[in-house]
Amino acid sequence: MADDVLITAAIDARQFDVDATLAAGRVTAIVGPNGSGKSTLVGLVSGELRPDRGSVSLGLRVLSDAAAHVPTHRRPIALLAQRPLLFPHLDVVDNVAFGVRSRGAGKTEARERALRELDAVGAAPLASRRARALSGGEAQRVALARALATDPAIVLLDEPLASLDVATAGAMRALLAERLPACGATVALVTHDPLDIWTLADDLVCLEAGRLVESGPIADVLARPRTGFLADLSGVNLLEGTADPHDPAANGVLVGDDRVLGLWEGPEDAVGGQHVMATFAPSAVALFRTPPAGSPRNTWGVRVVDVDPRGATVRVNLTVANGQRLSADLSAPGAAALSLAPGDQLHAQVKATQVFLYPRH
Amino acid sequence: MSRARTPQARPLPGWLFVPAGLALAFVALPIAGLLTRVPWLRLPALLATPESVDALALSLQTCAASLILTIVLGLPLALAIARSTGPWAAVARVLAVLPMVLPPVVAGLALLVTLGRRGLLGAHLSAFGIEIGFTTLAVVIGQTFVAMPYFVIAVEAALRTLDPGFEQVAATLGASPSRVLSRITLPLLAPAFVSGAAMALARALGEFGATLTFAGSLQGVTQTLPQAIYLAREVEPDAALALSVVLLGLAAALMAVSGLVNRAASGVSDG
Repeated sequence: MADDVLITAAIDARQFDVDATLAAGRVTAIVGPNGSGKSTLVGLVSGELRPDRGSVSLGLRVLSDAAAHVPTHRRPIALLAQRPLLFPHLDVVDNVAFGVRSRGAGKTEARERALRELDAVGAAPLASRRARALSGGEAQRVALARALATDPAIVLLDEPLASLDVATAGAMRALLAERLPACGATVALVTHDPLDIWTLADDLVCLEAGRLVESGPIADVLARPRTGFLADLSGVNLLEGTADPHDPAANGVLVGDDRVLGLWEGPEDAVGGQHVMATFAPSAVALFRTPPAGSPRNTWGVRVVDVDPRGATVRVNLTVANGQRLSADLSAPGAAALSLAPGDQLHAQVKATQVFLYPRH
Repeated sequence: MSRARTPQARPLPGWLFVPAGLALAFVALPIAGLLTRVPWLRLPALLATPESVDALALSLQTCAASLILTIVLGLPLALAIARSTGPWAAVARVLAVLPMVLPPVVAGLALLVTLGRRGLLGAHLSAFGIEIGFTTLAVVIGQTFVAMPYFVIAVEAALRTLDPGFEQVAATLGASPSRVLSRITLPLLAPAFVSGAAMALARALGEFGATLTFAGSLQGVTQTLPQAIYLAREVEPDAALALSVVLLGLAAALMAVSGLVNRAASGVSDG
């Protein structure tokens, strides 16, 4: 019943030019830095924006192109934004029934549908309350019911948890995890939160500066991040370099003058001079004041940018010689023993077995 | 988020209450003065004279008609100029509120030379036997001309501060532009609609200059309350005071309605 959503669209004024697919019946996380075009993508699907070139389609049905533009209210979509935006002059059940009525259902039918949907999000007891008498979390639940009550083919979630407090966001996330697969729609989820991505999404589309930089199933894209943004999102360090021209398999990757050794994960053998990414966890990084004894391999000079205590661990943000960033997670006592300050010059070491090397596309 | 915030009262310097009190007295004293001179005991008799009854009835009828006209024409105008951009929208916005600051006698003259018997349009209408000048219709047109801007400006201001998210989300729920307008936009505008209508009605009730110039002052046909008061002022001052009290009461009641509606609405504004 669900269809792919195909966006092949450019908007010049926003310097947006993206070719992306939201797979049928799956949840696609839309991520990227601020201003990367996430809202533009949502606007193109909702019909708020029209492409200068290209098209937006749902399966075989064209929603927008040079010749035609289906207005928002004729698209089989639903939108849940950061704010619940419940209509303040209607009570809860009328809010949820609004969309059902708008799409042609009779009064009784719409009301029954609304009550069922409210029940599904655990908000049935709120049915007769005024919209403005709800808490933020309750209102967002009702807004979800309102969105799903129209049986949309496409659901657009634009940072739906961003304005909720941690506890409420957790409950809402669990509710989305339950309701989204059940509704059968093709879902786009704009978010900044890795937890949302891992809990709710199947696929990921990453935009930067109005361009698609990465897409694919979550596990693939985040396990082997190919941009700094995605590496931050998956919480790993990412260094970019070139494969050593002489025996790349044995000599690893050159990041500036530093040599990074690791486990090669490319589908084919590395070629000298090839663009290669290296990832490793911040917890795999050890820091030393003096060069560590023993094997000199995978030891790089680093400079402390700042020190960020996080409970029992301390996150140390560093730069390597050629300016690329990495982080180290130390135990609080370990960090205290080093008495770190911004600007300190240290030696970082990572075991080669904890570094993964793979080609950039 | 969805709960109304209670604004923190900010302390004001104490000396500020002196000029503030003067300003209030400046407005309140003449009204008090008027009220002390009203022949309260003879009020029923003074208001029962044919002149008074005719003026009161004519004022209520014409003001009701001009209120309807104001809403029917002013609402679409407010919506159109609030949602339009560009130089023409700016021009339209100035034109729409111009009668508010125009001297009423100039407004009346403008109407006369346009719709009067020898006017720009009036001459053509005259040829078909349609006369507007110095009729009850002229009264209604004059009142609408000066009162409509009060309604338009109130509704337009409310539209500009309305959260566009409500209309956007209604569209994603499948509501056509007409349904969004009738079910979402207009209900959310209700407070501004009511207070704007109250302001316009109050302005129409008090309209004098434009009506006198364009419609004259013929008892039962074009002589509204303000004109009856003006004419009675020298001949029978007590009748003028009695009619003034009626106008004062109506105006005060309209402003009270407008104030109450705005107060009740201030908690509705966010979602």
